[in-house]
Amino acid sequence: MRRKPGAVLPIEVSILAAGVQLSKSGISEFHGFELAKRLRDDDGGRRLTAHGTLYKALSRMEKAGWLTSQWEDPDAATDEGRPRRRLYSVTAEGRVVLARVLAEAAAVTRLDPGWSPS
Amino acid sequence: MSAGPRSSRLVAAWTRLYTAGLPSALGERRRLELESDLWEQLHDPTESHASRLVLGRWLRGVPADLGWRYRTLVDARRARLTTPGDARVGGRGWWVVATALLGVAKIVMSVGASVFANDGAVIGPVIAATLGSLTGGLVLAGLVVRHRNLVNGSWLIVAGSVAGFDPILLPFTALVVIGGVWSADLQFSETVEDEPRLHVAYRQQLSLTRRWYVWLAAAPLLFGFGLLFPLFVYSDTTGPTDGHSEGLAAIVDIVAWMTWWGSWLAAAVCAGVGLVLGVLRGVVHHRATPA
Repeated sequence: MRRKPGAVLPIEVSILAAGVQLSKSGISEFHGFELAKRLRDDDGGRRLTAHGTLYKALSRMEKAGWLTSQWEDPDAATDEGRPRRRLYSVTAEGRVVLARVLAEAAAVTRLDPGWSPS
Repeated sequence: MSAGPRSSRLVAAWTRLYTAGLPSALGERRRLELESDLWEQLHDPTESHASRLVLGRWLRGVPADLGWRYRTLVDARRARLTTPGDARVGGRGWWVVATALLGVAKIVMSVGASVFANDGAVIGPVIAATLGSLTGGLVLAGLVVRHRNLVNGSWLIVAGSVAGFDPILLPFTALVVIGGVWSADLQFSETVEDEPRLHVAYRQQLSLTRRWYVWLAAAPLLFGFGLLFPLFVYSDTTGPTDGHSEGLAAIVDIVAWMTWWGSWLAAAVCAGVGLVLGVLRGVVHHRATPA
């Protein structure tokens, strides 16, 4: 199914919101598994977001300019004896998109108090 | 081997599989990201039953992996096709060779037939040679134009192949026309995907290969052609081999036989494709229509 121009998927809203929250708590960059855990905790669920769903969404959002990413310093990974992480951060454009979606949701909620984004 | 490494090996194998054939940088990045993710999950002290959860995450994400692969392939192909000077990748090498042979054959056959005509006529053979050379030239020109504009070049080839159609060249012509329509159609659909106005034009005018009734209409035409073809070849009242050497007669027989059965086979394929498309369209329409 083709997306409507300007439409933001629920998982994209969740990722942007999680990224902004992590940034506020002092973590400016996050990796995939860290994000999956954060999404699970925010959602109150027990399941981590599937690999395919998560990385497909991250790839799409980076292409849209809402996220930016880079490989971490290889020395840091070598020191800890683990594979290198791909680190993501929410861009200014991503924050604008999140603010717009939340404002629209707030407006709808005012009109219909029983409505929820899900 | 413990369950953790086994599950991560399984996911890594799947990742290698669905990233195969993708642009190397994208595939490599996805593989490394997954490798990191798996390591993090299996070594996270807060995660219990990690290996089972890894398998669950993997299974639930398989449709998204396949969707991502498809999208990445389409994007990569579009990037190649829209890169100036590299438009020819839309056509296979053998198809380009077949198209070039068809163009040359049209010219050589029409000119040769006119030169060696011994019925004393002058104007008829000259007109035939000119028309044959023009249509063959259109096919060859289409090959050149494809380098700059795949859609226009492909349609030029199709027009040149169909115009001045020679039954002897039917297999070549069918191959070239099908390939030309296919590549023009594919390229056009990808070019206009993000342009709603052009997309409508594409749907209305050019998406012939996706219309079930076009395929159904082609079936009786091909069947009729197969039925009438022997009349073209064996129009001599004294018999099919009269006036020909034995060798030439044998070649004519083989070409006639191939064209005859080839046409009927093509008719059957067209009818089948038309029926399948029609049924699928009916099913989709039925499902999309609210009760």
